[in-house]
Amino acid sequence: MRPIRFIALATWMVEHLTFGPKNEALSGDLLEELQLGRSATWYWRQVCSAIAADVLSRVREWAIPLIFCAGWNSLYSCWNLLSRAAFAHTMPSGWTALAWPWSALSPLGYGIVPALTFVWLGFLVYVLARPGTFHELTAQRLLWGYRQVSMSFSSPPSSSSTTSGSRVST
Amino acid sequence: MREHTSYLGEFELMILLTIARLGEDVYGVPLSRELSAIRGGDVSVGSVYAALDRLELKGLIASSLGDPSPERGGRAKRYFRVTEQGLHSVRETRRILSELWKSLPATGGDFA
Repeated sequence: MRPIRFIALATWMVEHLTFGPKNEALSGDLLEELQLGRSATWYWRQVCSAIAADVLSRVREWAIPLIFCAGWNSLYSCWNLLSRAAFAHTMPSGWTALAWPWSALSPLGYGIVPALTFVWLGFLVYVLARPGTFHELTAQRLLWGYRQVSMSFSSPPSSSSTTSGSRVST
Repeated sequence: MREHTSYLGEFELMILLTIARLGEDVYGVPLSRELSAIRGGDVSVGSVYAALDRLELKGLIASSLGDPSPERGGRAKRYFRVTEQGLHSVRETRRILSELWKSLPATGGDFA
């Protein structure tokens, strides 16, 4: 394989294995450095370190949500037992004797509702436990949110859509 | 209400100061070269871009796309500049570091 093909392969790698809007500028910078006299070895070293830096950056960015998801999912078996016990008490025995399609829909709801509740409960716990949530939930912002909701209910859709884009500064 | 401040890492601070020093038309190549010259060793362009990405997400720098050029294989340059928030963050970091240096006990000139 000739060096030019190596360079083309490295350029393809930096443009496709790194994320974000800056990968074009990054590959352009590396090509400019190559034009200015850098070696192909330097170019390859830079490409590999750029991909590694990008992967590390993404892992660091998503590490906490991923760890939380894994931890929260490990609680699902407990949640399933609890929800089944709760549903067994609340579900009327006559549901199973209903005519189609209700007889098919009731077990579907019996399985899906607890799972969806678990997912949304996890989302809520994560948002509330996240640092800075209570900083963002100031009285001024809550008041602003209440005002937006009340305006959207009281005014026609055209006027409410113009106010929805505005932001409050704290 | 207490202001929510995000502190700068060493490399991020170096990048912010280098952009401020080089002026308006700063893009990856001169930035990496200047950082290499200051640090006395080769700097990975990828790690510079990873730090630039973080700084832009924090609102400390802003970027704009230039025109494509043939020596870059038709790829455009991305120019960076420090925002007002970035300058404020640099000043705040300098103030904190200065206070920490001043508050060091006398240890026989180890830190001097």
